Amino acid sequence: MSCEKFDKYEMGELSAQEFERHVSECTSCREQSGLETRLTAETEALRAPVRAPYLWERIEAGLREEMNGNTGRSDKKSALRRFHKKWLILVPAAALFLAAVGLAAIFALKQKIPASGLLADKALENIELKEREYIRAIQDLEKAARPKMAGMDLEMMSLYRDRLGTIDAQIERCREALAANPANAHIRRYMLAALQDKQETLIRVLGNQD
Amino acid sequence: MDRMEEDETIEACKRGDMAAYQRIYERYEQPLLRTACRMLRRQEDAEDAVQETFLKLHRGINGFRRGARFSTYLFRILLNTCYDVLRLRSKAGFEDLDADLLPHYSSHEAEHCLMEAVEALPRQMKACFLLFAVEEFTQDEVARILDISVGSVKVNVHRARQKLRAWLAVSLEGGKA
Repeated sequence: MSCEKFDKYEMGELSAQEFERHVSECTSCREQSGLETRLTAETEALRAPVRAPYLWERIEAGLREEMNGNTGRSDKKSALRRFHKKWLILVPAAALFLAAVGLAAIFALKQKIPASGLLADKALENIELKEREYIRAIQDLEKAARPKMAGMDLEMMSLYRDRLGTIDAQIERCREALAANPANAHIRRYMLAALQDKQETLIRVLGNQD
Repeated sequence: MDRMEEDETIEACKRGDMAAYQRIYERYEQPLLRTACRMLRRQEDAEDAVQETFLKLHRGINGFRRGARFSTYLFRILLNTCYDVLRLRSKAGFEDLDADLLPHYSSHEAEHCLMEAVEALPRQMKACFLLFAVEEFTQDEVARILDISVGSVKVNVHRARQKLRAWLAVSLEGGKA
């Protein structure tokens, strides 16, 4: 049974002197102090180095790509604003299409995945077709969302851009994994979740008030 | 890297100097990787999260205010990236990781024991403990990184320690048997 004075001491509600006086006559606190010393020592092991060969090379390549790709972004902003009204028409259509295709993809996925996790050829073809349609619909939604993002303040824009960047990276990794193993239903489910997440994020972008 | 050197490096990053980004990488590689590994429990995802952190850093570095603490800023980006990945995983129903998606995780024996207990902590508790007890940020800094109150950091670290001590007591008892 733990003594409440130890908790108070750890939360800074009891001074070190008071605690020292108390600990000499409390078995529970002595035990907890011993465990705490041990925990502190073992925590040191959590600082052991993690090896990640070629990580810097990957980061450098990514940064160079960003630096090259980013040129002219501000010039694009005014051009994108000219299309500002277009998304008003595109959004409802894209959202409706997305909902229909998304539901179909989810339905197909749920119906066709055998217990083994391996998809039969016909079902796989069907899912890939629905997936491509779903991805195209999301791309349309993304196009519609761009002018809205360009019009946001810098902080909001960077928040949404970062989130979409993370989702895109996950989608890309799933695509790579699926290229090696197209019948892996787990990765496909992971990709579907990422696509749904992207859809929801884009809808939030479009619903965001300036 | 002292504060002045860090300020100069950040200014160089703002000018798109790749060597400056590399200096930041060399300085923060291990704490970033360690934290990401423990948050995501999978080295491949952790490496992706660190890479993503640098890309986000590049996109946002012009907004970084001189005088603000850079490590706090960098870790905030990392933790948000980790949370995004965890949110996606949970959405896909992968709270725990599939073996085929998890090929690389390995660590030293002694570290691995405590690691299991740390990894079993709830997400925010784990983040508070790792940042405060392992990476040695102050409670104020942890609060800023995670965008929570200092009181919440205190409580989370306290509860994490309680749980880890209980785990330690049981594992020491098991060792005696």
